[in-house]
Amino acid sequence: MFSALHIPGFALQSRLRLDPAGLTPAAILVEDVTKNSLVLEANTAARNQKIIPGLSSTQAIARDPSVRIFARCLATEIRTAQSLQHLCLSISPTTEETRRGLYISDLRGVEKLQPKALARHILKETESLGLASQTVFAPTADLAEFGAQSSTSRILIIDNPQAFLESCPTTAASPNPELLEVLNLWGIQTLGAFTQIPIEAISERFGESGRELWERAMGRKRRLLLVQPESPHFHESLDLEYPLSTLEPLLFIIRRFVDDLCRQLQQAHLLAASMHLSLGLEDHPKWENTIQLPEAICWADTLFAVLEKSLEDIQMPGAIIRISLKIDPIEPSAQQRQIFETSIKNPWRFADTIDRLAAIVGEDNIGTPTRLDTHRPDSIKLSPLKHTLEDWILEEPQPEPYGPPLKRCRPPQSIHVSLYLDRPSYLKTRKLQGRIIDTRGPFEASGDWWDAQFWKQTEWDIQLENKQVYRISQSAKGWFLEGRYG
Amino acid sequence: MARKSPPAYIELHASSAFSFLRGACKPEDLARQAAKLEIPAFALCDRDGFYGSPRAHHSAQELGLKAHVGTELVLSDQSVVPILAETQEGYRNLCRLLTISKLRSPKGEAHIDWEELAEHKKGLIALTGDLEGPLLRKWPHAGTQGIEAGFKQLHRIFGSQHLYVEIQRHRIRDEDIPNKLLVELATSFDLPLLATNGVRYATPPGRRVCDVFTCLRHHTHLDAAGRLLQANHERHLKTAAEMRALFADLPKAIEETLHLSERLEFSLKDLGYAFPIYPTEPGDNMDALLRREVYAGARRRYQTISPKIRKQLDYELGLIQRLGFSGYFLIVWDIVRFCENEHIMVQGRGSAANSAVCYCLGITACDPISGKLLFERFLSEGRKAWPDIDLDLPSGDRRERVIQEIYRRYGHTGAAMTANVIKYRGRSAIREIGKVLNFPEEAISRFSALSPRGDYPHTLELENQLEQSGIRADHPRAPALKKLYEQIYGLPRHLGQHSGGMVICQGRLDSIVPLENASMPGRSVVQWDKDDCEQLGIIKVDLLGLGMMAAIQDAITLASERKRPIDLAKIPKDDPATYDLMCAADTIGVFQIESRAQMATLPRMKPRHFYDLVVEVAIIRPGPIVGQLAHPYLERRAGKEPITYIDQRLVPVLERTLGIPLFQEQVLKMAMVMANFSGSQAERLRKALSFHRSEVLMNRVKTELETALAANGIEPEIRERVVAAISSFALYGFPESHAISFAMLAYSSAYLKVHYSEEFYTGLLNNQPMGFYSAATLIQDAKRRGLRFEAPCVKNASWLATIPGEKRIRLGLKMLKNVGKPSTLHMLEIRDEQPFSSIFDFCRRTRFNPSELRVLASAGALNALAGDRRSALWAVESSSIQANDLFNNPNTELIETNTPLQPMSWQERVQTDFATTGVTVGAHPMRQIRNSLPRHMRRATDLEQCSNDSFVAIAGAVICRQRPGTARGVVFISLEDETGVANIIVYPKMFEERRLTIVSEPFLKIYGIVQKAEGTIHIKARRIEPMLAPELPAGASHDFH
Repeated sequence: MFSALHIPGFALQSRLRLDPAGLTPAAILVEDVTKNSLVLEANTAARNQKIIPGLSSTQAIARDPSVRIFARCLATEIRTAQSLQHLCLSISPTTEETRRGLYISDLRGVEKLQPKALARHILKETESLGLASQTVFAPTADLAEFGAQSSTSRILIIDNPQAFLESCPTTAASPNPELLEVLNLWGIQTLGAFTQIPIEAISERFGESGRELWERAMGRKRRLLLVQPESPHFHESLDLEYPLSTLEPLLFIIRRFVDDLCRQLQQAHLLAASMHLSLGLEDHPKWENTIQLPEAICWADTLFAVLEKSLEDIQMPGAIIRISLKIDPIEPSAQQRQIFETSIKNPWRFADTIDRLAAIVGEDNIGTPTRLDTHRPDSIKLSPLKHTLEDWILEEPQPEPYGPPLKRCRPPQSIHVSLYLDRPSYLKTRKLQGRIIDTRGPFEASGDWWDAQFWKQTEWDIQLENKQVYRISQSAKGWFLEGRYG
Repeated sequence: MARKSPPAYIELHASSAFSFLRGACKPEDLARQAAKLEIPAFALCDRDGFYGSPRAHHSAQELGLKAHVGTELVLSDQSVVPILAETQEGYRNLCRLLTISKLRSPKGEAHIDWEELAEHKKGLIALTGDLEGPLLRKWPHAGTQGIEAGFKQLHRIFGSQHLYVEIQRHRIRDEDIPNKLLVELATSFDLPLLATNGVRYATPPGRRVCDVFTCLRHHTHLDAAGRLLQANHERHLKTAAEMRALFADLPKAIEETLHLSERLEFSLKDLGYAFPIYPTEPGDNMDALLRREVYAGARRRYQTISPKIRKQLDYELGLIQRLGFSGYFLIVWDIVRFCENEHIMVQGRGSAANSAVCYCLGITACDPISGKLLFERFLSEGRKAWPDIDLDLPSGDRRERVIQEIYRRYGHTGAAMTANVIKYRGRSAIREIGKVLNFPEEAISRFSALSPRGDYPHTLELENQLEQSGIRADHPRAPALKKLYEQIYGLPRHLGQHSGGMVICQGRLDSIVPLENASMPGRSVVQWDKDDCEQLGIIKVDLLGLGMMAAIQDAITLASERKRPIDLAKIPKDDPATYDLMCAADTIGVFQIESRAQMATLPRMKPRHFYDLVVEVAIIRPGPIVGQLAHPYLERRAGKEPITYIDQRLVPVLERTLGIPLFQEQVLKMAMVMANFSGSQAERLRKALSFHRSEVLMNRVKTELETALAANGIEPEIRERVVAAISSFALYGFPESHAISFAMLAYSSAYLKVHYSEEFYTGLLNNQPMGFYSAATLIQDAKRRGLRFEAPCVKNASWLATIPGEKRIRLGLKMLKNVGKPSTLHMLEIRDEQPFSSIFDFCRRTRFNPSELRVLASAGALNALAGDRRSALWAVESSSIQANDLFNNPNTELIETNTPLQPMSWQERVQTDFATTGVTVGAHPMRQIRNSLPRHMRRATDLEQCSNDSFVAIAGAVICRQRPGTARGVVFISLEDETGVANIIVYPKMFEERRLTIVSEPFLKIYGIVQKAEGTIHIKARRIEPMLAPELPAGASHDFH
């Protein structure tokens, strides 16, 4: 016995389950949301409005103005496919991903499970994933596949293969597009009608692919499932029999997890890029922490030390009942350093120092100053510090500075300025005041005019009687002292 | 009178939106702003051409300013050098230089070598340019040395006399340092320093558009563009005071703008264009030759030349001679002669038909003397510009032959097509702005989907359309979107090619205007559109392709082949059957009177004479409709309204149109009679009427008319009515002569439809796409007239449709989709050598690929060899056929005879017909589902039995959707079923409710109220639904004319 788990409209369902808007009455999937994109998939509500694949998105909107249009997202499809594969593997280790959204499992050896009970289990599990599914049970893998492709009922048990094949549409066997086109032109709509044509004639016209389809359509073919080994997940978790309330046993378990995970990483020739530790607590929400590693490694001692440090001084509100540790793997860098390039001597110590500094000055106040790509004066941001020296090399050569350096006031000081003939003539601040004897400017800059954050700034360089030269600016907020030259 | 103060500053480096995706305003905006700021002159330097120069020139002229001519040349090292034309020679050098680079480069690019610039430097003045110029572009990387190197390159070519060091100040902090070096450079080489503002937009808000265009150029959006955007909004036109303040330390740089402006002696009024001279024998001249040919033609046309004819011809010839237009008439005559020799149908249209000279030369087909047409509409004493003679030719290859003949005669640098300026319109503007503002693609697509075939601002306001697209009014970027839309709408987007306008020149056209490659191979295009050319006095000959002329010519050829030749010049002009057809509005396929509006008017007009048809053609035009003249005319014609005249003096002018002015000639004559307008005043009025770009001109002439009417003692009330009647024609009123030319084609096509229906429909089908209706509709229409159609067949069909016998048409193999022309023509060749004996013989000897064979078999084109479509499909899939190994396969006959497939059902055949040819020769698809429709669903012919105001339901294929600009948002739908065509009226509210259903569904169910009036039946739609049935094929309607 074989089972097929099928998610009709898999790509659309994958996209919809992650939609924060929740259930959508009518939705369609298109390759990309452009002018004349065609509908790839439509959900039941959309089909009820006569929106079918192949229509243009304009026609879809015409038939239901409230229809929601989603672009295809491969990442969500991959994630959904992984979840479904795990579900099937939990039923039978011999499971084939025939294509995304269709999983065929060989149930031989697990016959004790009643098909209907098993189907209900699968339906419940897929519903928890936010997916509507169909489950088919059939004596062969091909029949299970055909049933999944052709049936609209949620549970189908094929116990009379001949009768089923007689009325099964040819599309269920997924013939290649050219063959399907010819069959349509021939008026062949079912596998039963197809098998009425002598195999010799089919073979003569379509060669091996025609012959194979014919044999599959007869229900005779027994094929082996293409089973892919389960990929490691780099995830360890444990539901505790007794709650933990001290650090030592917790660290013991974490150490075990780290050792196992590092072994998995080594086998897969991968390194850890980050770790996610999750602790389930009694009567409290779970505690979680993600740790980005300064440099990808797979040394168990170091990883454990980092985790141990992260748990220092943490007071849990409740006893620990579940421990979960997940590692995000990354491939080792294929890049070889140049002879004079080097990494920071000890990135771990560097990262540790930065962490300590951040604890004192605040995380927002530490990093590498980077000029923002804008005309707005003095627009910089603090980028996270890099742990390799080559990353610090400036991306583009900067022009040579001209004139005396400007010592900036950060933040700029609010000042009072008097004007004469539209030019600044007198300056007054808390610490400084005087007549302006010379000016240079104005220098105008403005931007973000398309947004509410529109800004406009006028700058002047001014010289006071004390011969000092300053930069002042005017914006909607008033006048400011930007800095002093020299 | 106070003496005007001397000009204080002239902007000599400005760009418009014709510097595509760089400048952000129209040249006209620059001129208007310059006038407002009292800047007496400016130089338009668009990138790589003079695209906007004529508009700048004319706007400046109207405002009393001067527009200097310049361009920004992009050199091979990407330096951008602003160049100003000092003299006519300089301008010509620039035109040639641009032509050379444009003709060797892909569209939109032109790179000029420094050496080429040196060769063409005479009469030119170079500026050192802005940040993209050869000096400053090197500054960030190479500093002072970079500036010096760039300077030396320019100085080597232009020396000290023709080079200006350009300095710009945009209040940007970093610009002072290089500017200081430029000043030093100018001082040390003793070169003049020239202040400019490098203007990219007329006023500060233009900076926003400039930023949007920058993003489009760099394929990015505003959030990511960063320092690619403008730092501020300083690159606008500034007053002399502002510029003087900005360059207070360099007053000479400002003064120099005045000196240089004085030095620039060239302007577009000195273009030096000359129309080609028609070659004559030694001792002969063009005037004499024209006279001889006209009189020879007159003898052919009139047999005897009466004194009236002689007087008119002498008057026209005298005027033509005085105005120096003889060569022009001879050249057009020569083109017409070429067409006649090549058996290409040709007919002059437009006001040329008012000229007896044109009639005698064979350029036009209607006699203006017997038609009492007003010659002044065509040519008058005061006229400075060239007369306009447009030639209608059969579209397609025949028209292309004429175009290529003109290239051959005048050379590829002596003739070119006129350009067509493609502008930003609703959808294109929102798409580009939306992208740049980072709106989701889905919202932009929804916006486009709401107007799938154009912009329809009649009923759906921008705000509502945006709202419906998912862009709410309170979206933070919605205000910017709307503002930008207003700014960008109507700006030039790119340059296309005019459908038929050609300009020719005595000598080299590339000295008058730069030429570029058109996207069609073998064609070149000038940088100006037809209005620009006309305003600059460049004569264009419009070679317009008319599908109907091709169809008529083909029909005449077919009739001749069928031994029943027809001469259109000799067909009776009072054929009752032809007028019966028109009165019954049975005019699908008939030229000009097949539109919904025309078909609705025909039963009211009830044409019985040729002149009725002339009125019919002219009356359904925006001029008469907007002027609310169509309805009174029809009412008077029906005797429901008395015939009155604004003034008794107008009786002779308006008599034949029952007191209503319908033609431009009548309007001119009204002005001449009522206001004593002279020839030159009438000419200005004509220009104002036809040149819809200038409201200023229209208003000026209106004032002149009012004054003249008052001076002539016309009472105020009549004055008002005369002016109002004349103003209505500002929107596309037809000249009577043009209406006559079109009516002749309309009558000819209607006559052919009645008496030569096989030839008529065959001609139409062979020249698709054309007209309002698809081939499928034409076939259904023909079938209602008793014609039978045969599907394309490889045994006896040709490439084009043919007539195998009485009331029969065989479709051509051309109609088969995805079957190549070369393989089909090859098949026809070998079929002529020896007919095909079997399907295997066919496959063995032809070159069709498997996919083409499938189409042939599906369409029934192989039925004559295989029996039925399925047998043919079965056979063509045989590996023996596909491997071309028929001789070695002993089972060949077995395969041929043993077909296990069921023949196609009727429904399958119709579906396959539409899939493979877009038409069916069988029953209408609606017949297939008629039995499954509710009984209350009427057919088109049932509507005659329905009472007025009754509520009906009808279903059918949408064959035409129309939304005329004059209909205030009303949409007209033609719904076809197996019995005929039903006419539906959709009012704006209903259209907005079901907009996408109406514009995107091929089959509709419509519920509404029957409206019967004067022989027409309409349904006023109350409910519209898509009709969805798997048996129905995807339709193809001709939409939104």
